[in-house]
Amino acid sequence: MGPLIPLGIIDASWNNVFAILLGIAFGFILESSGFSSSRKLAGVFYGYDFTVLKVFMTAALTAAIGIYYFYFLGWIDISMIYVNPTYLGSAIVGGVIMGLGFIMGGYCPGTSYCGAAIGKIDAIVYSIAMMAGIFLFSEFYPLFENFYNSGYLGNVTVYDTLGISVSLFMIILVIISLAAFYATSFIKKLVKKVEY
Amino acid sequence: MKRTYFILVTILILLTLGLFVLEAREHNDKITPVELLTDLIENTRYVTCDELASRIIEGDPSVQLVDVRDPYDFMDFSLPGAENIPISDLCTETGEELLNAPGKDFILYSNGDVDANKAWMISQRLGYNRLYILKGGLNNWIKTIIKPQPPAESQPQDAFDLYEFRRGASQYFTGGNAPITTDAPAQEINFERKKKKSAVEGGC
Repeated sequence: MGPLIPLGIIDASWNNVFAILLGIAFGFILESSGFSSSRKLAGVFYGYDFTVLKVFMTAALTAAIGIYYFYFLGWIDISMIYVNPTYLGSAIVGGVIMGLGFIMGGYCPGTSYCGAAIGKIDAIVYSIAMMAGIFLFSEFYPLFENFYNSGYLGNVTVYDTLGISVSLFMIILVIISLAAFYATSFIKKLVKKVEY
Repeated sequence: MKRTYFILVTILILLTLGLFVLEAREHNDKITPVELLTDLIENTRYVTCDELASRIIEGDPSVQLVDVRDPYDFMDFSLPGAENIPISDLCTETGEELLNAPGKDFILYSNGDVDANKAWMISQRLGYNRLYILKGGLNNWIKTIIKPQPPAESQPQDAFDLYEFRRGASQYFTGGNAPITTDAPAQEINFERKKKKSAVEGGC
């Protein structure tokens, strides 16, 4: 039956409409969960607030488990689900850069727009700086091109690489996540409480 | 608060365990490569031209011929009662509708064996049942049924019986006006041509 757009059940021209609707819903939920505060977001690095970790891990788990329920029940064609290609070299360096930016600015790309939308000056500065970064990267792309495409592994998934079944991988991921959530409660107790 | 967490964690773990059950069930539904290989090695999927001819002549209602060639070739010449599903259309609704028809033996044919075999593999993988292939395809059909060659004098009686059957079948399929005998001069054979008003639609 699904995915609805790649199989032509819903016309591809609806793509942008869904993107806008989902984007608005996502932004609304981020804002109402307090994710437009850079202090709350940076808390995950300083150890006084782990909401970000919990929310995003739970979201990823729910989506992953949900997608495989759909697949096993025959509602979607899993081969048509887009799997982001892995570029090992650029993924590692990109992750480090993104992490540094996250600690310094207290936002990730999505939440910076969220903060900008409610008029937070740091978020507005962050969004503009991000645009400048994208512009510079695009301009100097030929310099980075070789590295950008390095360590290409194709559209791989972790469970295929490890050679285990999806269900086994999911249960391992759930256990690791729950253990991480539990461990963060201890870290939170050790760290001085921050008011924000 | 603590209790809510406990309930939510339990639900999450139970749902994840549910994946194991569903995954096991899913694997049972699919044709494994080993099963496919076994089916491929065993030649039970083939139907000979003689078998097919006799089934058509007897009016066997379970025969459903499936022409997997291009619509252009199909319009040019096809077997009586055949439906055209080019290989490229197998995965579309047209193919699904026909191959899901109950109580039919689907006999796939192309000019030779190759395309019919391809179509057979894909259809098998798509989970359709009762799929067969016309051995030798239309080339063999023309050679054995439409233009049968008389056996040599030294051949056993069976060969002559078969030849008689083929000659009869040839008359049946060519309109009954072309008795082919060895001494009669070669006559033009009138194939039964299926005229189609429009090309077969399909494709996604």
